[in-house]
Amino acid sequence: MIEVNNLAVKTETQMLLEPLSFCIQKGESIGVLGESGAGKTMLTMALLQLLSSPLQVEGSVIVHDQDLSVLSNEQLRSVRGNTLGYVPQNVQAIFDPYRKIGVQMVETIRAHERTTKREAKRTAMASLREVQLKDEHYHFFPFQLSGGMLQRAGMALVFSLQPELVIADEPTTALDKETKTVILELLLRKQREEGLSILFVSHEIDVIKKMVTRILVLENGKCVERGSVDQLMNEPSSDRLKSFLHYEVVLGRGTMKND
Amino acid sequence: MLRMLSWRLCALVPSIVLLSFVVFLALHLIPGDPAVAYLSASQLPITEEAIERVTIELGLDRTVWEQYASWVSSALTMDFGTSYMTGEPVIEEFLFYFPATVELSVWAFLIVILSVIGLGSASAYYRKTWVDYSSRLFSIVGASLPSFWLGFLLLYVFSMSLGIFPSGNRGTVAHYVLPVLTLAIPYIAIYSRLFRTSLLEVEKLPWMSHARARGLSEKTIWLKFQLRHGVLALLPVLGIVMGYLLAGTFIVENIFSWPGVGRYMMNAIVQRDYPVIQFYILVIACLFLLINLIVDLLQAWLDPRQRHQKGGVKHV
Repeated sequence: MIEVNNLAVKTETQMLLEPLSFCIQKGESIGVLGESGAGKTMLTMALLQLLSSPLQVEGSVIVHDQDLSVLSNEQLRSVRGNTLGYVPQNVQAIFDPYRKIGVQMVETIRAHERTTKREAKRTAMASLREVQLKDEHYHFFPFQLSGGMLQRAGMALVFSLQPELVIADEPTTALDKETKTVILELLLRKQREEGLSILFVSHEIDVIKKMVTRILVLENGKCVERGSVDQLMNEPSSDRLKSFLHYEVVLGRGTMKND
Repeated sequence: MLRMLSWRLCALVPSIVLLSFVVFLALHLIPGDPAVAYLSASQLPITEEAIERVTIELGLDRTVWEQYASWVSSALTMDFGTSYMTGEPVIEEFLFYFPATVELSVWAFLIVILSVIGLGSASAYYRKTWVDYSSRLFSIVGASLPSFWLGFLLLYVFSMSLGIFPSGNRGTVAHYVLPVLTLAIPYIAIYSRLFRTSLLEVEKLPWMSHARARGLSEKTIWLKFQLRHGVLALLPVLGIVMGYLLAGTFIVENIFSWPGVGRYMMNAIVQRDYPVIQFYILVIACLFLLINLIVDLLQAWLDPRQRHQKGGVKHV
C-alpha cells in the first residue's frame, strides 16, 4: 500500500530525521513510538509531502506505485485526503474556526468527488453519526464543540473520504477515556471491515499495543529500534524503549512483560 | 450581539459629552482673543469699544462653564453658532461643503481597499519575487512622500506637463483622479505591506496545513482560508483609514481647489473662525467614534465566536 524508502528531513546544516524505510500493507497497522521532539510529527508531515523550505525532504514515499515526492501539487492533492487520511494531534488544527463544521466537510468531500452538495451533506452527516456525533453538529462552529467532539468530527471528516491509509498523529493523547475508546474502536473496525491501513503515532504504550502489530521507535530523529509488538515489549533492546516501558509501568499504563 | 450594540451605543453618549468639553476647552486655551478674531474675520475695525461690545455679544465675559453650558444647550437644538466670516449658521455651511469631502474620501477609500487587497495578495502570493520587491519599493516611496509634495508632483506631471487630467475643481470623473490618488497612495503604500504580513501570518495558522492535508485545492485554500482571514484582520485598520481619509483632506483639497470641508476649515483656521473650527473638530471626532463602532460591530458579526458569545446556539 505504502512504501517509504530512505525518507529523511534536513535543513542546510542539520539532519532532523535520519533516513528511514518501512512499508505498510493493506489492512496492516504500524505504530511510531517516541517522546516529544523525537520527530514523529515531522515524519507524518514528510509522508504527506507537507514540509516546505527551509526543510528539505529526501527519499521516496510510494503509494500505489506512484512516488509522491515527484508529483505536482495538483496530483498530490488527489492523494491527500482521498488515499492518505490525516488526523492531527492538535484538535484545534482540524477546522477553520470561522466556518461551520458541515460546510468544511462538504467542501472537502466535493474537492475529491464530483457530487452534489446535497449528496455530500448526506455523506458528511453519515460520517458524523459514525463517530457518535449528532446530525445537528453539522451546523456547529468548531468552537462550539469540546476537544473530544472536535477530534471525533475530525475523524468523521477523514472517513467521509474513505481513505486507504490513515496517518493518526497522537489522536487520543488529550482526550477523555470515553472519546479515546470511540476513536480507537472506530479505527480498528475500519481496519477489520474495510482493510484500512493505519500509521499510528503515539507515546502511550497501552494504546500502541492495542492498535498495532509492528512498532518503530524514534529518538532524536532516528529510528533506534523496530519489530513486532510482542518482541519489543518483551525484549526491548534500545535504552529509549526500556526507559519508556519503565515509565509506563510507573504511571500504571503498561507492564513490562506480557500482560 | 444586540446587547453589545445597545451597550456600545450607550457608551457613545459619555464619550461625545467628554469630547465636546475637551474640544471647547482646548479652543479656549488657544492664545488670542476670540473677540478680536471675530472683528477681523468680519472685517470690522478693531477698536476698544468694538472689542468690548463683541465680548458681551458673544458671551465671552461669562465663565467657561457658563459658556460651555450655553453652547451645549444651543447645540442640542442643532444650533452650533454662526461663522465669524460669513455670518451664516455653521451647520448649514458645513453641510454645504461636506458632500464633496465625503465623495473624495469614499472614492479614495474604495481605491485603498482594492489596491491594498490586490497588491498585498500579489506580494504575499509571489513572495520574494520581483512582484514582491516592486511592491516593497512602491511602499517605501509611497509612504515616505509627504502628501503635499505627492499632490504637486501628480499635478505637475499629469496636469501641467501631460495635460491628461484637470488641475482642480470638481466636475467630471477626470477631476477625481488626481485628488483621489494623492489621498489614497500613502495608505495603499503602508497597508498593502501590512496586509501582506497578515496573509503570511495566516499561512502559519494550524488549520492551514490540515487544509492541505485533506486535499483542498490551492485556490480554495487561498480564497476561503487565507484571504478571508487576512481581510478580517485588516478590518479594524480599514475603519481607522476611513476616519483619517475624512479628516485628512485639508492638503489635497487645497492643492486641487476641491470645494470640500477641508478647504473651508483651512480658511476658518487662518481667520480664527472659532465656531467653525469647534464644530469641525467635534464632527470629525464623532465620525471617528461612529466608524469605530461600525467596524467593531462588523467584526463581531463576521466572527462567529463573538456572534455566538451570549445566548447563541446551545451546546449539545
